[in-house]
Amino acid sequence: MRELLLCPPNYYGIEYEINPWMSRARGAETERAKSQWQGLHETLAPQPKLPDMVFTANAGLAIGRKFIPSNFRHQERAGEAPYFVRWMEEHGYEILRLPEDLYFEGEGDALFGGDALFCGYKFRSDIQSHRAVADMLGCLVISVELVDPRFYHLDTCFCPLPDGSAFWFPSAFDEYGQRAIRAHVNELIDVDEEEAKHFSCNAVVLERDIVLPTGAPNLVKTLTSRGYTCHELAMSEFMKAGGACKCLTMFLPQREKC
Amino acid sequence: MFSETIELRGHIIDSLTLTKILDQIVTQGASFNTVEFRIGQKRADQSFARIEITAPSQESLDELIRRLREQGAEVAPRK
Repeated sequence: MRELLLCPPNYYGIEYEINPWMSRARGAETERAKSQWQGLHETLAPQPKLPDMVFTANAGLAIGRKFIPSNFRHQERAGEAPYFVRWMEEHGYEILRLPEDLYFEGEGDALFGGDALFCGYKFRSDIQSHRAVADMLGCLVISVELVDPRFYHLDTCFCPLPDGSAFWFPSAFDEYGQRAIRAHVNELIDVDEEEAKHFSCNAVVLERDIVLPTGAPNLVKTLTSRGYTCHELAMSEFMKAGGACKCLTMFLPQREKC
Repeated sequence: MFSETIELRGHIIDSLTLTKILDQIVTQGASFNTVEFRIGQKRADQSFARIEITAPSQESLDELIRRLREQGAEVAPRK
């Protein structure tokens, strides 16, 4: 059974600005953020001075008992990496390290759809890291370029579903990325910009249950008509930092094997 | 004319990276010659391409190479 890794938002807050959503002038309300943070299966001790550690999707990528830790692009987040690595080691994972000069932000930019691992690049991860991940895991990696800074991680604009389909915000990708995704995903549900801005693609999919932020009635209607049960959660305080449901979770593991 | 050779590795066909790189070369007014091309046999196999690029000026070549590196291209070691 897969588990989810989450980190309590004890030290969460808008303390710096590293994406278009963040504004120190528009801070998150701590108590509201805590009340919005729920549903933990596994927890990780939060660390002071690392406010974005709640976004565990960026810890790395877990496949089977192997864990590829992230190399964060921004120095503000680099301090999270040793804590994640230690936690994974303590829980029996083999650590596979990428070269230090390759940026890679874990499950935030690496999501399995069918037998392919879709990897986003440009804003946070480097395309060169994708080749290294493919070498480590021996799987097909589809590299797609992200072009809209509001959707700076793959998991903010692309959400694969267990039946091989996916929902996505196409404009977040360049023309080639869109074509590559269309060629490898058997059915795609387009999310309109207004709903995409509510981080509706930043969803956690657990078989037929989908946990996503409020604010996407059209997507919820579409998914419901396809037999999924949608659970809508308030995520306003985390969206101020550019994240929501998926950013707050990492699958342990995302896949048992490639 | 000014030339440089680049190398591409990975799932460059499925990701359309090779297509993107060749399109960028042509749209930037340069030309290319495929020196070596190995296609992965199995689905998870990676492919490899070595491509010689020729541009009308050193400046345009440098700018093009800079862009291609952002797409995963590496400048091949000179032999």
